Amino acid sequence: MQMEKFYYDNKIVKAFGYATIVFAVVGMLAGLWAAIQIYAPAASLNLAPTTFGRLRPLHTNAIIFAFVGNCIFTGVYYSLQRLCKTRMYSDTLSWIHFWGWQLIIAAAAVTLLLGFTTGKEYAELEWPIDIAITLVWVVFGINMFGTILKRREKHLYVAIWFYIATWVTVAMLHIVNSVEIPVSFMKSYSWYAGVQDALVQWWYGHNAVAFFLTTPILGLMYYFLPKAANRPVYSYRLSIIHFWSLIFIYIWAGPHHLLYTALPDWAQSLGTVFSLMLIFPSWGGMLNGLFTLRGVWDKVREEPVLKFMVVAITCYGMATLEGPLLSLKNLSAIAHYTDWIVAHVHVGGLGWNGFMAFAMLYYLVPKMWGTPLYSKKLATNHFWLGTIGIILYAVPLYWAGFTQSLMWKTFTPEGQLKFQFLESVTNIIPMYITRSVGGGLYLVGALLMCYNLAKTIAAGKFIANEAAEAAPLPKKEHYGKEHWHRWIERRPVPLLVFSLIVVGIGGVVEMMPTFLIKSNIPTITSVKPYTPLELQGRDIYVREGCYTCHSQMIRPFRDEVARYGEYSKAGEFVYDHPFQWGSKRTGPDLARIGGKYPDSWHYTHMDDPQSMSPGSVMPAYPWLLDDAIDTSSTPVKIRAMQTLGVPYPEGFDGKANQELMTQAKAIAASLKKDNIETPANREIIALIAYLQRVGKDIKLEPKALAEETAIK
Amino acid sequence: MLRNNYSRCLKMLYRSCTILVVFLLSGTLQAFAAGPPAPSALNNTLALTLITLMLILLLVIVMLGRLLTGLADIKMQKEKEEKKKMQTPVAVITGVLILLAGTVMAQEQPATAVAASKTIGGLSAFAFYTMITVIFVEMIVILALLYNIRFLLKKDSVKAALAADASVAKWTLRNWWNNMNKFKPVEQEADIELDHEYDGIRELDNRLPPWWLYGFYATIIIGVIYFWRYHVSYSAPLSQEEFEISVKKADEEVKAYLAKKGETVDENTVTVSTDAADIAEGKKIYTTACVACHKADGGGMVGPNLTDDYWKHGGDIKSIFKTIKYGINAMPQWQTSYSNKQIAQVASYVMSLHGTNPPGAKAAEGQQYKGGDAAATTGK
Repeated sequence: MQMEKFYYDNKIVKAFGYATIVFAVVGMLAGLWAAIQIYAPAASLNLAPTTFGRLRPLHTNAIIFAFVGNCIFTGVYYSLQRLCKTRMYSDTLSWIHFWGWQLIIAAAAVTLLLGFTTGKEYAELEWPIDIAITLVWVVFGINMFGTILKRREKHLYVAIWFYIATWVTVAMLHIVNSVEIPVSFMKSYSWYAGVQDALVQWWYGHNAVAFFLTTPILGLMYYFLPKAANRPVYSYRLSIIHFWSLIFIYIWAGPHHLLYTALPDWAQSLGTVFSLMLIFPSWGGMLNGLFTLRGVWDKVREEPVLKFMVVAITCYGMATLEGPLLSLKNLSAIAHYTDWIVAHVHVGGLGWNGFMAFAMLYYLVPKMWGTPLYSKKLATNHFWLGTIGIILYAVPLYWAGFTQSLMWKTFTPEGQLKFQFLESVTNIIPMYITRSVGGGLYLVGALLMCYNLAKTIAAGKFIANEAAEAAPLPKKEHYGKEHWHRWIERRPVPLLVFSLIVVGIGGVVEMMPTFLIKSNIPTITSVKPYTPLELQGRDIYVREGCYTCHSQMIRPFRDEVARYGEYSKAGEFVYDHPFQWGSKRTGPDLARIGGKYPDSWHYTHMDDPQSMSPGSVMPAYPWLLDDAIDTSSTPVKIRAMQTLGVPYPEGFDGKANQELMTQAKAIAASLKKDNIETPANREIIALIAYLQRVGKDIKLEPKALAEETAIK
Repeated sequence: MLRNNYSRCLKMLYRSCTILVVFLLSGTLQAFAAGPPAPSALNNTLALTLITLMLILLLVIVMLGRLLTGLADIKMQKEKEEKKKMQTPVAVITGVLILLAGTVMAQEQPATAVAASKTIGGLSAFAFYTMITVIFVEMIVILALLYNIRFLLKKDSVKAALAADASVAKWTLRNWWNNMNKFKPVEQEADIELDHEYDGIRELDNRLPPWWLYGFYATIIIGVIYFWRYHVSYSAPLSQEEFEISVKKADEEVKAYLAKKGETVDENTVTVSTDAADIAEGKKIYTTACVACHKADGGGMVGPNLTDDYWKHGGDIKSIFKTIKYGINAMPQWQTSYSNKQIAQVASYVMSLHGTNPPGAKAAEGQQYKGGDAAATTGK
C-alpha cells in the first residue's frame, strides 16, 4: 500500500507545554501564599484581593484549570496525533483553543482577585467566563474529533477512550452546574438552591476531580508510560474493565462530600456505596501502570521520567484508596471539615497530577528539541525535593486534621465541650508552618525543572513539524474473530455517545428524586426570604469567599449541637442561591451565628479579628467599613430571585431599597449605642444584617418558640 | 492458543462467580430472612462473627477450589487427555457446591419448627442453627477439597510437573506475589501479546489479577449489603437516629458521673469563693472566653463594664452565675462550654474585679447594686 507522508504539529504542543510550566509556578505560588496566611494572617496585606478567601479560589483554579488543564492539552495534542497517525484536524482550531484557554485563565485570575465569584467551589468563575469555557471546550472537542475521524489507525487506543470520556463528561458537568441567572455583567445567582445546589455542586466538584484530574491523566499515563519504559501495556482486558467501571461508578460518588449534612440519607448512602465500589476500578489503572514496568525496574532507578511516574501512580493508588475510606460515615465524621481532607487532595494533586506533568515534560522536551535532557542529576534532585515536599506537606496536615477533630469532639466528664474552637486552631499552627515548608520545597523542585528544561531547550533545535508516514485506512476491511470490545474501538461516535450514557446515569438517579420529590426537603414554614439588606450582605459574604474557611452546616453530632446549636435542616436553605455550606472549618461553623454576638462585636471583629478573638487567624476586612453598599443592584437582584421562585411580593423590587435603608439605619443605631459611629450605607452594615439572620428562622417555629419562652 | 487461553479464563471466571454468588446469596438471605429479629441480627456480635466466619470459609473454599482445578489442569495436560474430560472436575465441584448450597437452603424448612421459642446469644434459634449449619457444610466442603488435592498431589504425573516447575515448589515472597497476580513470566509474554500496536505501543492481554477481581466483587457485595441495611431492612441507624442515640447515651454517662462525684453547685447553691485557686481558674476562663467583649481588665467594650456598681441583670453571685450560664440578649450562653463549677469560678473572679476602676472603662449601665445584701437583690 502507498505510504502517505505527513507532519505532526509540535508547535501547539510547545505552546501548551510552556503554559503548563508557567501556571505550575503561578498556581503553586498562590497556594504557598495562601498557606502562609493561615498562620500569619497579616500576609493578606490587609488588601481585599489578597485575602485568603480570594486567594484560595485563585490557587485551586490556577492549579486545576491552568496548570493541569494545560498539561492535559499538551499531552493530548502530542499523543493524539501520534496515536491517530495524523496531524491535528485544524491548526486554526488548535490556536483558537490555546489562546482562548489562556484568555480564560487571565480573566479568571483578574475576576477572582476582584471578588467576582459564584461562591461554588472549583466553579467560582462568573457567567461570561463560564460561556467562554463552554465555547473553547467545544472548539477543543471539534478539533479532537476531527483528528480522530481523519485518523490512519483503525482502532482507538485506550488513551483515546479516556480523552473522549473526559471531554464529554466535563462538558456535561460544566453545563449542568453552571446554570445560573445573571443579574449584572459579573454577578449571577445559581439556578439551584440549598440542598439541590449542594448536590449538583458536589456532583460537579467530585467529578471535576474524576474527569479533569484523573481520567485525562490516566490517558496520558497510557501513552507516556509504555513509551518511556519501552514496555507493552500490561493488560488489554484490564484496560477495558477499569475504563468502563471507572467512568460509570465515579459519577455517583459526589454525595460523599455531604455525609451527615441536610442531604437526604438515601443520597448520602449512594455516595458512600459507590465510593467503596470505586476502589478497584481506580486501582485497575494503577496496576496497569505499575505492572507495565515489570522487567524494567532497573530502568526506574536511572530514568527520572519513570521515577516521577512510579511515585505519581503510587500516590494515585493511595489517594484512591483513601478517598473511599473517607467516604465511610464514621471516618467522614472525623475527617470532614478538617485539614485531613486538604492533605488527601494534595497527595493526589502534588503526587499524581504534579508528578505526571513533570514526567511528561521531562519526556517531551528532549523529544521535541532533539537533544538529551540537560541534566539527569538535576531532574533526580527535583524528584527528591518533590517527594520530600509531598511528605512534609501531607503528614503534618493528617496529624493536624486528626488532632483538630478530636479536640472538637472532646467533652469533659461533666458534659461540657473541653476546647474552645480557637484552641483547636492555635494548637495546630506548627503543623501549618511545616506544611508550608513542604509546599515550598515542592515549588523549589519545580523551579529546578524550569532551569533544567530551559538549558535543554537552549541546547537543542526545535522540531516544529515532525515528519511521519503511514498507510491510509483501507476502505473496506474484514475483521475476523476478535475481542468484542474491538467493535467500539473502531467507532468514535458510538464510543462518545455510550460514554455519555454511562456517565449520565448516576447523576440522573441522584438528582431527579432530590429535585422532584417534595419529602426530600421538608418545608419549614418559619423560613422566610432574606431582606434586601441581608441579600446584599450575603453577596458580600460570597464575594469575600467566607465559605473557604467557614461552613454553614451543623452535622447531627453531639459536639456540634453543643458548640453551634441545633443541627441544620434541609428546609432552612430553600432561598440560598447559591448554598454556602462550605467544606472546611479553618474558622468555626456559622450556620447559627445569627444573634450569637452583638452587632458591635461583628463590627469590631471584621475590622480587627484579633481584638475580639486573641490568637485568631482570620484576616481583617477594613474595606468593608469604608465601602458603600451598591444599592443600585438591589432591584435587579430582587427580580432575579423572584425568577428563581423566591416569594417576594409583587413589585417588591421598587420598594426594596427603602426597606434596605430602614434596616441599615436600625443597625447603625444599635452600633451607636456601643460607641461605634458609622454611616448606615456601609457594606459592613449589610454583612452584619446577613450574619445576624443566618440560622435564626428555624427558632421561630411554633415548637421552638414554646421552648424558648419556657427557658425565659 | 491465545484465544483458547482467553476463553478458558473467562469460563473459569464465570464459574467462580456462580459459586460466589450462590453462596453469598444463601448466606445473606438467611441473615435477612429470619423474620422480625433479622433487623437487629446484623448488630449482634455473635451474628457478625458467624457471618464473618462463613465468608472466610467461603474464601478458603474458593481458593482451594482454584488450586484443585489448577492441579487437575496439570494432570490433564500431562496425561494429554481429551479436552472434554478436562472440564469434568471443575464442573463436578461447581455442581457439588451448588448442590450443597441447595441443601443448606432446604434445611431451613425443618429448622423453622424448632426456632419459634428460643434465642441463642440474641439470635433466634433458627438463624443461629442455620448459620452453624452453613459453617459445618463449608467445613465439609473444605475437607473434601483437601482430600482431592492430596489425591492429585500423589499422582506421579502431577508430582513430576510440580518438580519441574521450580516456582511452585518453593514459597518465597516473589513467588507468592507472582501467584497473587497470576503473572505470566516475562519470557512467555509473546503468547499473550496482541497483534496490534499504536505508535509503537504494544499491548499484552494478561489476565486480571485475581485479588483485584474478587476485591471488586467484594466491594459491590458490601455496597449492596450496606444500602440494604440502611434503606431496606432499616437495621442501621440513619443520621438523625444515630444522633439521638449518642446524645441519650452521653446524657446518661454525664448524669452517672455527676451523681458519683456529687457536684451540686448550681444557680441556687452557688456562693462567692475567695479561694486563690478558684480565682486563678476563673481568670483563666475569663481570659479565653470573656475578654473579647468585656476587655481583659473588665472595663467593658462591646459588653458592659464589670468593675462598677451597675449591673444590667443583677450583681449578686447567683445572678451573675445565671447570666453566664444561660446568657441573655447579646450575652451568649456558656453552659455548653463550661461546667457549673467553672462558671462559679468565673463569677467569683468577676466579683473580684469590682472597684478596680480600670482606665477607659465603659459608662455605667443598668441598675446600681450595692454589695453585701446579696440575698435581697435579684437583678431581674
